[in-house]
Amino acid sequence: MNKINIISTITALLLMSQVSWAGEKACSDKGKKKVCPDSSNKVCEAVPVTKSVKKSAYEVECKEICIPSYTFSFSLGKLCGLKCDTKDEKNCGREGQPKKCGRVKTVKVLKKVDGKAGEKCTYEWKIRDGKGCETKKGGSAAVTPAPQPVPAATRVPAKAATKVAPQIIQPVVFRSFTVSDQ
Amino acid sequence: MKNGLWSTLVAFLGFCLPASLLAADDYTTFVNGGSVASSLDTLAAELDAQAEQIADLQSAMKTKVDSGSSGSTMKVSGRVHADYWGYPAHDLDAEALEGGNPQNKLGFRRVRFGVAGNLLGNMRYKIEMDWANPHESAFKDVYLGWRDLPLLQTLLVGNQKRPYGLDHLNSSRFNVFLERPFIIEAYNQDARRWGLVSYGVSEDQGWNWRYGLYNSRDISGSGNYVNDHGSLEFAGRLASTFWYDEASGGRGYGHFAVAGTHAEVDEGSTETRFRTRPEARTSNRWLTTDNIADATSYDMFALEGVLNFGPVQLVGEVQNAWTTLNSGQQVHTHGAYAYVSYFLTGEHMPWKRSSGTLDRIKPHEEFFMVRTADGKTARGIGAWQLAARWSTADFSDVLTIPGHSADGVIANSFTLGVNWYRTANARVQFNYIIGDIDRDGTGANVANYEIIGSRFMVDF
Repeated sequence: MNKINIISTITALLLMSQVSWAGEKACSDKGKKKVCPDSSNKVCEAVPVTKSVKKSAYEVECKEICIPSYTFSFSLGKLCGLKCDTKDEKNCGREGQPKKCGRVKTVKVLKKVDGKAGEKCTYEWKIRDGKGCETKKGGSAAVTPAPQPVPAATRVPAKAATKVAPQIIQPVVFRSFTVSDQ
Repeated sequence: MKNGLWSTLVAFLGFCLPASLLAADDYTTFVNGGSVASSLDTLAAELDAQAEQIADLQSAMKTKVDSGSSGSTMKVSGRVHADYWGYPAHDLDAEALEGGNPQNKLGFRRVRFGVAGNLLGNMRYKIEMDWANPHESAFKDVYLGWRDLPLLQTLLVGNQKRPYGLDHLNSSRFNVFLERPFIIEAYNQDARRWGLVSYGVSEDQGWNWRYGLYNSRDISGSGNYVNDHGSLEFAGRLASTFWYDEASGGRGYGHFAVAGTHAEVDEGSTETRFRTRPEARTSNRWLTTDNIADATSYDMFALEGVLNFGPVQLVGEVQNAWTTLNSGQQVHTHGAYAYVSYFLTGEHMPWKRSSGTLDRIKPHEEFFMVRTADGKTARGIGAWQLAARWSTADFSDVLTIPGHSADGVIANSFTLGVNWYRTANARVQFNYIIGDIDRDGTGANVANYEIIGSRFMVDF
């Protein structure tokens, strides 16, 4: 191994150590590379949150519709612009009506209704500083207790906050979790 | 005085503006000494609800499709027609016309997707493709044009329907029967040709017309017409909606039209031939004049009429064509059809007066079958229609041409149809067809057949 090879190897090792050293600092540019901070001193922790559940349901309404009778004459045209004779209000507007009435039919109309079907407890994974997750036996000193679930739908006005005790909902459904973007 | 006025105005505005942010009931509560906190709660809840709506809207906008150029519009459309055809009864003559035992068919009749819209100014465009045969796509309406022109009204250039045969001008989305009658399809096979065509309608929509110059070759598969002979035809249609009951929303109407064409054709080319299937999906065309070697031109004249009385509709068309040969001989072919349809559920066949064609059928009650929130089963029946059609065509005169032969020259058929319109955009059709085709015009070799067909279709 000649001198040039030895110097190149040492230079490369130094650069790599610089990269790993820089990684512990804030995200920064190092030459042409983008270097991200080390996250080995952090952990992800599941935080229970309560979310409202939406559910669609069908409803059927009954609706009366007119099935007009057709006519060969153009008498119905007279209805447009017809002025009422105040002496005969009951028959006002009936002069131009066809002899055959339209039929009324009741039909079913399907409606889709979006509504809230309740609440469910799910998890969000949050990043915090520290190592280990044991909390029952004291575990790591860096461990902090997980926050209690707070219903997202419950908004407490600032002024009333002192009067209303925070509502705690225990997790009841364990179907899914989401990893929050940090 | 002035200062007093200003302070009064400011005080008034200061009072009014926050109040306007509150709902009327909350405002009343507020001015009556009610809780400000409860009003703020309501406001916060409303803001939350609005934030959710905005988020939903933003999410929906991500899937919105825009046209590629500013100032133009684009509407996406498509249709799927899934068919089943069966041949429960036929004789040996029918097998001879088919080239073997007619085989049941299951597949797609139409799979179309297209876009249409307006361009800057008064231009418009449409592109619609059909992929029912994945190995051989075909274009349908492909044109560009202008709207609101003086005199010409709408002028389109490109592939579009020739203006004769009401049953062809009607969209396959609205036609009462699965397949078009003998004479309509034979004289206007696949309907669309490359042309320069004007479309117009009178102010009161009592009259509509279309006329133009077309190339007679069907180029939907090839995309081009390559020939020194122009194969040009001038065709037109003048239609009158002589009765339209406005008051009932068009549940009663009457229509009459005359249509015709003069076509110059290249001798012996496919444009000298009229042919069609037995109003069903068979492999071969069972009715044909075959290519006429000496034909130089043909003239076609058609009459059509429609009467609609609420749920009942009567439709009829007659078409005649005279093909002129080099020798001076003229061959007369002709055909006709008539049908009656009836809605059991009371709907009617809507009519589009601007084009003189059928419009979209809207069921009074849509078909659905769901379990509602309270656990009960709910059903809607859709619209149900019965129909019966008689159809005939006679091409036997071609056999008078010296040295010319054709297999299948006189056809008659009767079709029963049931249509179930599940929604305005979805329906199921069923046809039972019984017919006969005289192969040589002598009455000695007649193909008899029965065919059933069904179609599930949607369009959007």
